[in-house]
Amino acid sequence: MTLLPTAAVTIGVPLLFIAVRRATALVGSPPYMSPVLIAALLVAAACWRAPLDIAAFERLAAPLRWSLGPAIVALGAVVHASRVQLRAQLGALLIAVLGGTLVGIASAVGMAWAFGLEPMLRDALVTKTVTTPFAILIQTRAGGPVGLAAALAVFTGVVGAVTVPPLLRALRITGSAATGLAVGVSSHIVGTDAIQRRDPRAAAFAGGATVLAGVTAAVVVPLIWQWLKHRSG
Amino acid sequence: MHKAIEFIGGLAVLAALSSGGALVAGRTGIAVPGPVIGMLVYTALLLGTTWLDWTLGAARLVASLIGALLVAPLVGVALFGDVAARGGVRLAVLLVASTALTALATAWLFRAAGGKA
Repeated sequence: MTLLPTAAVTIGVPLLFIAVRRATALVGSPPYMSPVLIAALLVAAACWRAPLDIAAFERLAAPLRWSLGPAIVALGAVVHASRVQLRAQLGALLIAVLGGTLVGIASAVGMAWAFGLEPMLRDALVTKTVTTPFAILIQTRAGGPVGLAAALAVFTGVVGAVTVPPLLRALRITGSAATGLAVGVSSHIVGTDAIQRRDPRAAAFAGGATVLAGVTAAVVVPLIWQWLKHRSG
Repeated sequence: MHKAIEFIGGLAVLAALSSGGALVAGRTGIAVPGPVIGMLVYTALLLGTTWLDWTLGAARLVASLIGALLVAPLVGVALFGDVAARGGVRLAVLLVASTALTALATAWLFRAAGGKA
Protein backbone atom coordinates (compact mmCIF):
# COMPACT_ATOMS: atom_id res chain seq x y z
CA MET A 1 0.00 0.00 0.00
CA THR A 2 2.86 2.42 0.86
CA LEU A 3 5.14 1.01 -1.84
CA LEU A 4 4.26 3.63 -4.43
CA PRO A 5 4.61 6.70 -2.13
CA THR A 6 7.86 5.25 -0.73
CA ALA A 7 9.22 4.78 -4.26
CA ALA A 8 8.12 8.32 -5.18
CA VAL A 9 9.96 9.81 -2.18
CA THR A 10 13.05 7.58 -2.68
CA ILE A 11 13.41 8.64 -6.31
CA GLY A 12 11.85 12.10 -6.17
CA VAL A 13 13.88 13.62 -3.32
CA PRO A 14 17.32 12.88 -4.87
CA LEU A 15 16.08 14.16 -8.25
CA LEU A 16 14.85 17.35 -6.59
CA PHE A 17 18.25 17.78 -4.89
CA ILE A 18 20.08 17.36 -8.22
CA ALA A 19 17.75 19.89 -9.88
CA VAL A 20 18.30 22.42 -7.07
CA ARG A 21 22.08 21.88 -7.19
CA ARG A 22 22.09 22.55 -10.94
CA ALA A 23 19.96 25.65 -10.45
CA THR A 24 22.30 27.05 -7.76
CA ALA A 25 25.30 26.25 -10.01
CA LEU A 26 23.83 28.62 -12.59
CA VAL A 27 24.38 31.50 -10.12
CA GLY A 28 27.88 30.32 -9.12
CA SER A 29 26.94 28.03 -6.17
CA PRO A 30 27.31 30.69 -3.44
CA PRO A 31 27.81 29.05 0.01
CA TYR A 32 24.69 30.69 1.45
CA MET A 33 22.55 28.86 -1.17
CA SER A 34 22.89 25.34 0.20
CA PRO A 35 21.13 22.90 -2.20
CA VAL A 36 20.43 20.55 0.73
CA LEU A 37 18.70 23.29 2.70
CA ILE A 38 16.72 24.63 -0.27
CA ALA A 39 15.58 21.13 -1.30
CA ALA A 40 14.54 20.36 2.31
CA LEU A 41 12.52 23.59 2.50
CA LEU A 42 10.79 22.72 -0.80
CA VAL A 43 9.95 19.22 0.48
CA ALA A 44 8.67 20.62 3.81
CA ALA A 45 6.49 23.10 1.86
CA ALA A 46 5.18 20.25 -0.33
CA CYS A 47 4.36 18.19 2.79
CA TRP A 48 2.49 21.16 4.26
CA ARG A 49 0.63 21.71 0.97
CA ALA A 50 -0.21 17.97 0.48
CA PRO A 51 -1.04 17.78 3.49
CA LEU A 52 1.35 15.11 4.78
CA ASP A 53 2.74 15.30 8.30
CA ILE A 54 6.52 15.26 8.65
CA ALA A 55 6.51 12.03 10.68
CA ALA A 56 4.66 10.24 7.84
CA PHE A 57 7.14 11.67 5.32
CA GLU A 58 10.05 10.42 7.43
CA ARG A 59 8.55 6.90 7.38
CA LEU A 60 8.30 7.05 3.57
CA ALA A 61 11.92 8.24 3.42
CA ALA A 62 13.24 5.20 5.34
CA PRO A 63 15.15 3.79 2.29
CA LEU A 64 16.94 7.15 1.88
CA ARG A 65 17.85 7.15 5.55
CA TRP A 66 19.25 3.60 5.22
CA SER A 67 21.28 4.65 2.15
CA LEU A 68 23.15 7.16 4.28
CA GLY A 69 25.12 4.24 5.81
CA PRO A 70 26.76 3.08 2.55
CA ALA A 71 27.25 6.76 1.60
CA ILE A 72 29.22 7.34 4.82
CA VAL A 73 31.41 4.34 3.93
CA ALA A 74 31.95 5.93 0.49
CA LEU A 75 33.57 8.95 2.17
CA GLY A 76 36.64 6.71 2.54
CA ALA A 77 37.21 7.60 -1.14
CA VAL A 78 37.55 11.28 -0.10
CA VAL A 79 40.33 10.40 2.34
CA HIS A 80 41.93 8.20 -0.36
CA ALA A 81 41.85 11.11 -2.84
CA SER A 82 43.63 13.37 -0.30
CA ARG A 83 46.14 10.70 0.81
CA VAL A 84 49.25 12.39 -0.62
CA GLN A 85 48.54 15.67 1.22
CA LEU A 86 47.41 13.91 4.40
CA ARG A 87 50.39 11.51 4.62
CA ALA A 88 52.96 14.27 4.12
CA GLN A 89 52.13 15.90 7.48
CA LEU A 90 50.12 13.22 9.25
CA GLY A 91 51.18 13.99 12.84
CA ALA A 92 50.49 17.73 12.75
CA LEU A 93 47.30 17.12 10.81
CA LEU A 94 45.88 14.63 13.30
CA ILE A 95 46.69 16.94 16.24
CA ALA A 96 44.99 19.85 14.44
CA VAL A 97 41.85 17.91 13.45
CA LEU A 98 41.45 16.17 16.81
CA GLY A 99 42.07 19.36 18.80
CA GLY A 100 39.95 21.53 16.48
CA THR A 101 37.01 19.11 16.67
CA LEU A 102 37.19 18.99 20.46
CA VAL A 103 37.32 22.81 20.61
CA GLY A 104 34.28 22.87 18.30
CA ILE A 105 32.27 20.51 20.49
CA ALA A 106 33.37 22.13 23.77
CA SER A 107 32.75 25.71 22.57
CA ALA A 108 29.28 24.86 21.23
CA VAL A 109 28.23 22.99 24.38
CA GLY A 110 29.84 25.57 26.68
CA MET A 111 28.24 28.56 24.97
CA ALA A 112 24.85 26.80 24.84
CA TRP A 113 25.09 26.43 28.63
CA ALA A 114 26.33 29.97 29.17
CA PHE A 115 23.56 31.43 26.96
CA GLY A 116 20.89 29.39 28.77
CA LEU A 117 19.62 27.63 25.63
CA GLU A 118 16.98 24.95 26.15
CA PRO A 119 18.03 21.27 26.47
CA MET A 120 16.87 20.21 23.00
CA LEU A 121 19.00 22.92 21.36
CA ARG A 122 21.95 21.99 23.56
CA ASP A 123 21.63 18.35 22.45
CA ALA A 124 21.46 19.35 18.79
CA LEU A 125 24.48 21.68 19.10
CA VAL A 126 26.75 18.84 20.30
CA THR A 127 27.13 17.74 16.65
CA LYS A 128 27.10 21.17 14.98
CA THR A 129 30.83 20.99 14.41
CA VAL A 130 30.68 17.86 12.20
CA THR A 131 29.43 17.38 8.67
CA THR A 132 25.71 16.68 8.29
CA PRO A 133 25.81 12.93 7.45
CA PHE A 134 27.88 12.27 10.57
CA ALA A 135 25.64 14.57 12.65
CA ILE A 136 22.56 12.61 11.51
CA LEU A 137 24.22 9.28 12.22
CA ILE A 138 25.48 10.31 15.68
CA GLN A 139 22.16 11.90 16.71
CA THR A 140 20.14 8.92 15.43
CA ARG A 141 22.30 6.55 17.44
CA ALA A 142 22.12 8.76 20.56
CA GLY A 143 18.38 9.43 20.25
CA GLY A 144 18.87 13.18 19.78
CA PRO A 145 16.84 15.71 17.71
CA VAL A 146 18.03 14.57 14.25
CA GLY A 147 16.28 17.19 12.06
CA LEU A 148 17.36 20.10 14.25
CA ALA A 149 20.93 18.82 14.49
CA ALA A 150 21.09 18.35 10.70
CA ALA A 151 19.88 21.92 10.16
CA LEU A 152 22.40 23.35 12.64
CA ALA A 153 25.22 21.41 10.94
CA VAL A 154 24.19 22.86 7.56
CA PHE A 155 23.89 26.40 8.99
CA THR A 156 27.32 26.01 10.60
CA GLY A 157 28.75 25.01 7.22
CA VAL A 158 27.19 28.05 5.56
CA VAL A 159 28.35 30.43 8.34
CA GLY A 160 31.88 28.98 8.17
CA ALA A 161 32.08 29.07 4.37
CA VAL A 162 31.19 32.77 4.41
CA THR A 163 33.22 33.94 7.45
CA VAL A 164 36.23 31.63 7.97
CA PRO A 165 38.31 32.32 4.79
CA PRO A 166 38.22 36.15 5.27
CA LEU A 167 38.92 35.72 9.00
CA LEU A 168 42.00 33.58 8.24
CA ARG A 169 43.22 36.08 5.64
CA ALA A 170 42.76 38.96 8.11
CA LEU A 171 44.92 37.06 10.62
CA ARG A 172 47.49 36.29 7.88
CA ILE A 173 46.90 32.54 7.99
CA THR A 174 47.26 31.95 4.26
CA GLY A 175 48.88 28.53 3.67
CA SER A 176 46.78 25.96 1.80
CA ALA A 177 47.23 23.27 4.46
CA ALA A 178 46.29 25.41 7.48
CA THR A 179 43.45 27.09 5.59
CA GLY A 180 42.09 23.79 4.27
CA LEU A 181 42.20 22.09 7.67
CA ALA A 182 40.56 25.06 9.42
CA VAL A 183 37.77 25.21 6.80
CA GLY A 184 37.27 21.41 6.78
CA VAL A 185 36.95 21.07 10.56
CA SER A 186 34.84 24.20 11.10
CA SER A 187 32.72 24.36 7.94
CA HIS A 188 32.56 20.75 6.68
CA ILE A 189 31.32 19.89 3.19
CA VAL A 190 29.80 23.35 2.51
CA GLY A 191 33.13 25.07 3.30
CA THR A 192 35.11 22.48 1.33
CA ASP A 193 32.89 22.99 -1.68
CA ALA A 194 33.28 26.78 -1.45
CA ILE A 195 37.08 26.70 -1.12
CA GLN A 196 37.40 24.21 -4.00
CA ARG A 197 36.88 26.97 -6.55
CA ARG A 198 39.65 29.21 -5.13
CA ASP A 199 42.30 26.76 -3.87
CA PRO A 200 42.05 23.07 -4.95
CA ARG A 201 45.08 22.12 -2.78
CA ALA A 202 43.38 23.57 0.31
CA ALA A 203 40.20 21.70 -0.68
CA ALA A 204 42.08 18.37 -0.63
CA PHE A 205 43.09 19.06 2.99
CA ALA A 206 39.57 20.29 3.79
CA GLY A 207 37.92 17.13 2.38
CA GLY A 208 40.14 14.82 4.42
CA ALA A 209 39.72 16.99 7.55
CA THR A 210 35.92 16.96 7.16
CA VAL A 211 35.84 13.16 7.27
CA LEU A 212 38.43 12.85 10.07
CA ALA A 213 36.53 15.41 12.19
CA GLY A 214 33.35 13.38 11.66
CA VAL A 215 35.10 10.19 12.79
CA THR A 216 36.51 12.00 15.85
CA ALA A 217 33.04 13.24 16.83
CA ALA A 218 31.49 9.80 16.16
CA VAL A 219 33.90 8.37 18.74
CA VAL A 220 33.82 11.24 21.27
CA VAL A 221 30.15 12.33 21.29
CA PRO A 222 28.64 8.96 22.34
CA LEU A 223 31.17 8.85 25.21
CA ILE A 224 30.18 12.29 26.54
CA TRP A 225 26.46 12.10 25.61
CA GLN A 226 25.30 10.45 28.83
CA TRP A 227 27.38 12.88 30.89
CA LEU A 228 25.81 15.82 29.05
CA LYS A 229 22.30 14.39 29.48
CA HIS A 230 23.00 13.91 33.18
CA ARG A 231 24.12 17.54 33.46
CA SER A 232 20.98 18.63 31.56
CA GLY A 233 18.68 16.53 33.70
CA MET B 1 28.29 -3.60 -19.44
CA HIS B 2 31.49 -4.35 -17.52
CA LYS B 3 31.44 -0.84 -16.01
CA ALA B 4 27.81 -1.28 -14.90
CA ILE B 5 28.59 -4.58 -13.17
CA GLU B 6 31.65 -2.99 -11.52
CA PHE B 7 29.49 -0.07 -10.34
CA ILE B 8 26.78 -2.33 -8.88
CA GLY B 9 29.49 -4.47 -7.26
CA GLY B 10 31.00 -1.31 -5.75
CA LEU B 11 27.63 -0.31 -4.28
CA ALA B 12 27.26 -3.83 -2.85
CA VAL B 13 30.68 -3.55 -1.17
CA LEU B 14 29.73 -0.19 0.38
CA ALA B 15 26.40 -1.62 1.63
CA ALA B 16 28.13 -4.73 2.99
CA LEU B 17 30.72 -2.65 4.88
CA SER B 18 27.97 -0.41 6.31
CA SER B 19 25.91 -3.42 7.44
CA GLY B 20 29.03 -5.19 8.70
CA GLY B 21 29.96 -2.13 10.75
CA ALA B 22 26.46 -1.98 12.21
CA LEU B 23 26.70 -5.67 13.09
CA VAL B 24 30.04 -5.15 14.84
CA ALA B 25 28.69 -2.11 16.72
CA GLY B 26 25.60 -4.06 17.77
CA ARG B 27 27.46 -7.19 18.87
CA THR B 28 30.26 -5.43 20.73
CA GLY B 29 28.24 -2.55 22.17
CA ILE B 30 30.70 0.01 20.76
CA ALA B 31 28.99 3.42 20.81
CA VAL B 32 30.46 4.42 17.43
CA PRO B 33 27.84 4.33 14.61
CA GLY B 34 28.21 1.17 12.46
CA PRO B 35 28.73 2.91 9.10
CA VAL B 36 31.66 4.86 10.62
CA ILE B 37 33.29 1.53 11.52
CA GLY B 38 32.62 0.40 7.94
CA MET B 39 34.19 3.62 6.63
CA LEU B 40 37.32 3.15 8.73
CA VAL B 41 37.72 -0.43 7.42
CA TYR B 42 37.14 0.76 3.83
CA THR B 43 39.67 3.61 4.22
CA ALA B 44 42.25 1.24 5.73
CA LEU B 45 41.79 -1.22 2.83
CA LEU B 46 42.06 1.58 0.24
CA LEU B 47 45.21 3.03 1.81
CA GLY B 48 46.90 -0.29 2.64
CA THR B 49 45.97 -2.50 -0.33
CA THR B 50 44.73 -2.32 -3.93
CA TRP B 51 41.95 -4.90 -3.38
CA LEU B 52 39.09 -2.42 -3.49
CA ASP B 53 40.46 0.14 -5.96
CA TRP B 54 37.85 -1.07 -8.47
CA THR B 55 35.10 0.26 -6.14
CA LEU B 56 36.46 3.85 -6.19
CA GLY B 57 34.29 4.91 -9.15
CA ALA B 58 31.08 3.93 -7.37
CA ALA B 59 32.29 5.39 -4.05
CA ARG B 60 33.22 8.75 -5.61
CA LEU B 61 29.83 9.03 -7.30
CA VAL B 62 27.96 8.14 -4.10
CA ALA B 63 30.09 10.58 -2.07
CA SER B 64 29.39 13.36 -4.59
CA LEU B 65 25.63 12.76 -4.25
CA ILE B 66 25.58 12.42 -0.46
CA GLY B 67 23.69 15.72 -0.22
CA ALA B 68 20.65 14.03 -1.79
CA LEU B 69 20.48 11.68 1.19
CA LEU B 70 20.58 14.57 3.69
CA VAL B 71 17.42 16.25 2.42
CA ALA B 72 14.95 13.84 4.04
CA PRO B 73 16.43 14.01 7.59
CA LEU B 74 16.72 17.80 7.27
CA VAL B 75 13.00 18.09 6.51
CA GLY B 76 12.51 17.00 10.13
CA VAL B 77 13.71 20.46 11.21
CA ALA B 78 10.16 21.65 10.49
CA LEU B 79 9.21 19.85 13.71
CA PHE B 80 11.67 22.02 15.65
CA GLY B 81 11.16 25.42 14.02
CA ASP B 82 9.82 26.98 17.22
CA VAL B 83 12.75 25.61 19.27
CA ALA B 84 15.30 27.16 16.88
CA ALA B 85 13.34 30.43 16.77
CA ARG B 86 13.41 30.67 20.59
CA GLY B 87 17.22 30.42 20.40
CA GLY B 88 17.19 33.62 18.31
CA VAL B 89 20.16 35.96 18.55
CA ARG B 90 21.90 33.81 21.18
CA LEU B 91 21.91 30.84 18.76
CA ALA B 92 23.18 33.02 15.89
CA VAL B 93 26.03 34.42 18.04
CA LEU B 94 26.93 30.90 19.19
CA LEU B 95 27.09 29.55 15.62
CA VAL B 96 29.37 32.37 14.41
CA ALA B 97 31.64 32.48 17.50
CA SER B 98 32.01 28.70 17.89
CA THR B 99 32.74 28.24 14.16
CA ALA B 100 35.42 30.98 14.21
CA LEU B 101 36.96 29.53 17.38
CA THR B 102 37.05 26.03 15.84
CA ALA B 103 38.75 27.29 12.67
CA LEU B 104 41.37 29.34 14.55
CA ALA B 105 42.12 26.51 17.00
CA THR B 106 42.60 24.06 14.11
CA ALA B 107 44.95 26.38 12.20
CA TRP B 108 46.90 27.30 15.34
CA LEU B 109 47.29 23.65 16.45
CA PHE B 110 48.51 22.68 12.96
CA ARG B 111 51.22 25.34 13.07
CA ALA B 112 52.12 24.62 16.70
CA ALA B 113 52.54 20.91 15.83
CA GLY B 114 55.05 21.83 13.11
CA GLY B 115 52.74 21.70 10.11
CA LYS B 116 53.94 23.47 6.97
CA ALA B 117 51.65 25.67 4.84
